[in-house]
Amino acid sequence: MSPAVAQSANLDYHERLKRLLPGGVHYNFNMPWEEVPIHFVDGRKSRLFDMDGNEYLDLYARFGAMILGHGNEEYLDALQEAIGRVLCVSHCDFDAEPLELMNAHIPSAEMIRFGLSGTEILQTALRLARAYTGRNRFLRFENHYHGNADNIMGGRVTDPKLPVPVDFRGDYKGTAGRATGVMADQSYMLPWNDTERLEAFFAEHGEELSSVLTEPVCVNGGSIEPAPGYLERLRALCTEHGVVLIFDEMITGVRMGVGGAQKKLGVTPDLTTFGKAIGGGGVPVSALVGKREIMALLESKKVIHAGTYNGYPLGSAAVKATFSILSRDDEAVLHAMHRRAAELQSILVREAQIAGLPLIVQGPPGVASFHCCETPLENPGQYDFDLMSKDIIVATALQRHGVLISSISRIYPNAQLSDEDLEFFQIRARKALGEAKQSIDEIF
Amino acid sequence: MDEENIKAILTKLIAAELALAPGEIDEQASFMKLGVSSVQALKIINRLRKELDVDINPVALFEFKTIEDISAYLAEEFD
Repeated sequence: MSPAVAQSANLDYHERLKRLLPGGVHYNFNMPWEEVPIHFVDGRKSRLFDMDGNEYLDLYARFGAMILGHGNEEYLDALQEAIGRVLCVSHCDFDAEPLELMNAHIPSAEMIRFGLSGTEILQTALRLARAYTGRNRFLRFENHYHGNADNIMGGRVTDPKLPVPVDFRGDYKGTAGRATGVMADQSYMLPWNDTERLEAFFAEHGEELSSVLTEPVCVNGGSIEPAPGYLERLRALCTEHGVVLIFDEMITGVRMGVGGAQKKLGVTPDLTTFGKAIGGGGVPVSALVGKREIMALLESKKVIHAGTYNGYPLGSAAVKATFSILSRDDEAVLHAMHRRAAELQSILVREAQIAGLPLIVQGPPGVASFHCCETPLENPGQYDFDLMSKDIIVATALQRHGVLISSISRIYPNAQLSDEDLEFFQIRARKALGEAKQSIDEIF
Repeated sequence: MDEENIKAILTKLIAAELALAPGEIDEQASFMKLGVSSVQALKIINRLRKELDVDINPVALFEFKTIEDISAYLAEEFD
């Protein structure tokens, strides 16, 4: 299908980069195909502009990090002030306010440490849980994603009686070079949202576990919400067996509310990891928050958490600005963003109906995904290759028509999403969905 | 169907999708090197499904990334 947008400058630039940059990108998963990234030159509010002069509605938001929208003045002013004062010291007077803001809003944030990336801070959380419990193994769930470290990425269970994750052919989160046995020796993996399996597992293995790690809403598996009572039961089982419950709120944190998914859902974990949007989208910051008695292991220095840029001034200023903007007036900015996101999702469903394409949107506004099917997914295991393929076709068509979606079909709104953006979306979605329907009919 | 036949069909489908002549397709190059996009890969694998009248697990794409590798895998499946 011919591109709906010009891209000659972009293609030339991509070729130039590929000479030095593997694949022309700074990250990759194990996909067999080559996607040519779009190189942007300018961003304003919800829109991006590429090297060929094309305009896009940015619902990709750099994997959800860009929550404030491009060129948010209050945010940029805060960053400018920090840059102008002190850039590179280990400790500065920017720390207290962001920590106090997070403590005030996030139920599990009795104490807080900052890091840089999600992958890194998550490993610190696992280490802390192992030290606190004196146990080695952790439990994670199918199709959740917790960073690209060897011990936690991809894999599947081949023997349900001993549910340890192992490498398998065709795992797009699988990687060559993984340290031998690193998943099987450290972890278990279960299907998510299955209370019966969870209870049976805890009865047999509960005393072996240091921690259980879960996204509170499984955004990576298709924006699937927890079944009623599931997280509450998980919380109770962890307490009963002395296991540290860790929420990975890398995506849900701030996007669902400044208190994270945990506040919305009313379940408080022992530790939580944050990243992406807590820094507002312009600078990298991750955070590990948790109960005082567990975090005390960092205070006593029994557990190491180190990093040259941890708590760097610009990052702390960014967190302060982000929480200030989003929490003001009872989270008015976030409520408005969620309302517009819900409208945008309704437009997408309506336009799909017009095109004759089965399509639903599921998940809380702010972290929702669309799927080319009739009914919402109930567990991440239902997100099979055929459905994923159809979603890829729609996402690709939307991109061809100037609407950027986050992989695979996530819709990440930002605080500056406007009525004009919704109009832009409606026009582009109509064209894109017509084309996608044609492709899907041709392929399936 | 033997490996050579499968290879010829696959090469023809990829060439058609990339608007190239079959002779221009390197059978040892990965889909990625050939510049196949996600949607093109899905189209190719599904057309191959229809043409060979066989259910091909799309996951094969992730493991067997060249025309030669996919053809060898499918020939083995036919046996």
